[in-house]
Amino acid sequence: MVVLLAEDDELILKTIAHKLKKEGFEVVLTRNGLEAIDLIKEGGIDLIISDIMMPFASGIEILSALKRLGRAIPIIMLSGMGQEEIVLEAFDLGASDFMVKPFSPNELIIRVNRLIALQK
Amino acid sequence: MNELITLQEVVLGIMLVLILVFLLIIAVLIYSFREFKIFSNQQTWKGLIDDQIMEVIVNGPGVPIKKDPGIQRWMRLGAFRRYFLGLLMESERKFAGTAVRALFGIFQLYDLEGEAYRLLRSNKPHLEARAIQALTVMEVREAMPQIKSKLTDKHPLVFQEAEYAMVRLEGFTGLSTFLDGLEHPISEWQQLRMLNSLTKIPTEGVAQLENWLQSTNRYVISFCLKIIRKFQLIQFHDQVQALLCHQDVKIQLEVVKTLLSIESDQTMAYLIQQFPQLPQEVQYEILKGIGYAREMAYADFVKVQLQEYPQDQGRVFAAESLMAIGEQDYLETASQQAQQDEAYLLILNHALQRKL
Repeated sequence: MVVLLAEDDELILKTIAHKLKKEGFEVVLTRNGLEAIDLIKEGGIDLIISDIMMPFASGIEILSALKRLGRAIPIIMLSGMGQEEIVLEAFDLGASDFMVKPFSPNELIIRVNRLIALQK
Repeated sequence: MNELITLQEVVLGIMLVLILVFLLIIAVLIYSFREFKIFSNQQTWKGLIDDQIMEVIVNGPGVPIKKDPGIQRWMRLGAFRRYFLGLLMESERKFAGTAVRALFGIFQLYDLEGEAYRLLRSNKPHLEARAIQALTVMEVREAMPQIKSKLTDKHPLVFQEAEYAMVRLEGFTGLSTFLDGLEHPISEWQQLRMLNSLTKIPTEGVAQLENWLQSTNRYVISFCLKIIRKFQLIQFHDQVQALLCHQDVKIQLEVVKTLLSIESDQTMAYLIQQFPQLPQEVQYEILKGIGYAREMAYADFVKVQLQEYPQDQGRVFAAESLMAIGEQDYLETASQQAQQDEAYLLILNHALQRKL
């Protein structure tokens, strides 16, 4: 299972990546939204975890790109507090789940596993 | 009597200026080098600290935390310890659950608590404030007496941080330690973060809230009204209502918001009755409130305001409220009949476009 992790905060990126690797996932990392879209285009991604606010392209733009490309990849959005409107927009565009920062990395892993189980 | 400047004096003067310029250049260079050194060190430090935090979070609370030799080497440096403390506090805002417990573990392992106490004794307000912040975030309840003593500090940075710490660590009881005789303002940000930290109101807190509503400090009243809204303390309805005639418009605005939040079946009727005597900003708040509360029973009152309110801004709020309470047909009919009144037409179109 390949998880694309798009997050511009170095600590969050490293922590989630290690957690996912520990759980047996293969992880592809990116620190900006535009690169995330390119990686999605290349294919081979089974699940995406993306921050909403990122340089060059936001999480919302990643969702739009997924829709445009016709890829049905489950995506978990990470949002900051007070971004409720953006979260609603994200759900409208097809986000599968979201977590508000500060978040529990353990809970994120549970949600990842749940989404993967639903896919099977 | 004219005194001529000799050539010798001119040369001396020029040399003095040159020496000063030279010293200034040296000082700037030393400062820049120091800043560069700190910046480049911080890159290394961040990597080390992030790795340690990540490792501890990933391993979880069951695994003993091992000290990183790289971090230990730097711990001798005060700037590093302060940076470490800062990063740890920043991380606390990113994670929740057991990950936060892991951060507490790191705080204790490297004796950053000791560093926080050292900073607390500093005479620089920003360092004292940072120390209070760290002790609060890391829930060092033993530091409460020291933090409490900072409530009377003369620097806003310090006493504001101490006030927040009291509420975050002690909840409503902490609030009671300083709100009674408070004389200075409480910023909106401070009110919001304290409000966010309050999770419950004890039974005895009701009497205190009653006192605070009578405070001579308008910020205390304002904060108290926010608490009433947050915890939906409907028993305060009549006392809040009595504050509608307060001389401060900002309090009156908070009163309207609070009344609309804890309203009884008489609230809106009372607000409408008082409407003509209230200042313009408060009238706007009521007009907006009718829309938010979807008070259809007061549609006729709002229609009158839409027609007759002296300021366009008030008419805009009236039109928006009518839209919110489902009077779209009325607005459309009115817009068809209002061809001559350009301002009125603009207001109606503005309200209608919100849904079109």
